[in-house]
This record gives sequence, structure tokens and C-alpha cells, in this order.
Amino acid sequence: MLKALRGFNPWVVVAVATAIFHIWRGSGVDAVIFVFTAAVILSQVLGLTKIGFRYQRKLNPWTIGVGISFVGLMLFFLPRASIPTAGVLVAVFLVTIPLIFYKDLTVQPSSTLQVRRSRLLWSLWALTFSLVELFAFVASKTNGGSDEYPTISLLLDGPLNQPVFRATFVVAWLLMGIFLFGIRRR
Amino acid sequence: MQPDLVITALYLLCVLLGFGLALYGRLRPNQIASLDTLLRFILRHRITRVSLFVVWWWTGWHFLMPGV
Repeated sequence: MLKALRGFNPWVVVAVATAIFHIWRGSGVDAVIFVFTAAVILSQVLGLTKIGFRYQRKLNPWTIGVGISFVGLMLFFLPRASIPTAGVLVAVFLVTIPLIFYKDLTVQPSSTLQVRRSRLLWSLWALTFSLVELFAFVASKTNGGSDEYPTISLLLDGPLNQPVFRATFVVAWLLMGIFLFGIRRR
Repeated sequence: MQPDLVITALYLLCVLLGFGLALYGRLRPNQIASLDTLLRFILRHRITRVSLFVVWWWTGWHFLMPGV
């Protein structure tokens, strides 16, 4: 039992809990996204899907620069919550997801003390951020309203309607993706 | 104190803490691993990659497609 728990990936719980949360709050598309994610993750846990590239695909800086500029420019002109914007976002998903679908190494190095400390601190940070957001969401539904208890999406709603801020947000979001998934990491 | 100001301040505090943590990891790698090192480590597992990817992509979707 303990041996099985030691190898358990906590992201399984996060994906399933997030899917249940979005079903509960009645957000159809978000629920579909996270139910699908939970299904993919559970299929990985059960060993049903093992397809993937042998190595991570890398992109050269020119491709990244042109891609980010193009998407930033598109979303500067396109209105939010429109079908063309959804199309661009789905295209980003389809183009980028192959970059993370590579096979895991068969022999994994063990973590260092510094990595374990860092993992704990970043997990606490993410948990704190999520709890503030959850508190604002629940309080806005039960106590006052979204003006009194604004979620982060409500705070950014006004600025994101401005094309310049929207394009800046998109560029920052894409650059964060490049950093997170190590597209340029050696 | 107005609750909206408290919540906004908490968000800002979280953002600042994130930057602080990232900076501390870069300056004192013998204390805590840098974010780059941590990501390299945790992304060895495909389940983590898929989860983090969806969280990242959904963030963009959530802010750019409100109410959908």
C-alpha cells in the first residue's frame, strides 16, 4: 500500500477534483476540458496509453518568435469570447500538445533535498493562490456579489477588453508555456 | 476594511511571493532548487506534463473566452 502511494502522482487528484468542481459550478466547456484531462491521466495511470515521441521535440527561436507574434497580433484584433478567438486557442492547443507527448525515461534520477524543498514551497504557493480564488468565488456566490469578492478573472476582465493589454497577456502566456515545458531547455 | 481590497491585496501578495520564490531559487540554489531545475525534474513524468499543460492552456482559454 505504502509502496503504491509512494509512486502515486498527486496530479491525478488535482485533475479529477478540478473536473468535479467545474461540473458542480455548471461550466460546461471547462468541465469537458478537465473531464477529458482526467480521463487521459487515468488512462496513463492504468497503463492503457503509452504512445509518444521518443524525445521531446524542440523549436528554434525563429519559429517561436514568429508563432508568438502571429498569435499575439491575431488576438489583438479578434474580440474576446468569439468563434475566431476560440479557433486560435484550439490551434495553439493542437500545435503545442505534441511537444509534451514524449516517452518518460525508463530510469529516473532521484530528487535532491533542494528539489524537494522547492517542490514543497511551490506546492504551498499554488495551494494558497487556489484557496484565495476559491474563497473569492464561494464568497461572491454566498455573501455579497462579485464586486465585493472579485475573482482574478473578474479583476482582469476590464483590462483584457483592451486590445493592447490582451495582446500583451497572450504573449506573456505563450512565453510562460515555452518556459514551463522546456521547449528551449537543453 | 473592504473585502474587494483585501482579496486584491491577497492576489498581489501571491504574485509577489511567486516572484520572490523564483528569485530566491535562482540566487540560492544550494537552499532551494530554481524553478528551472524543479520543472526539469517534475516534467520527467508524462502525467505531470499533461496536467501542467492543460492548466496552462486552460488559463489562456479562461481569460480569453469568458463565459464560454
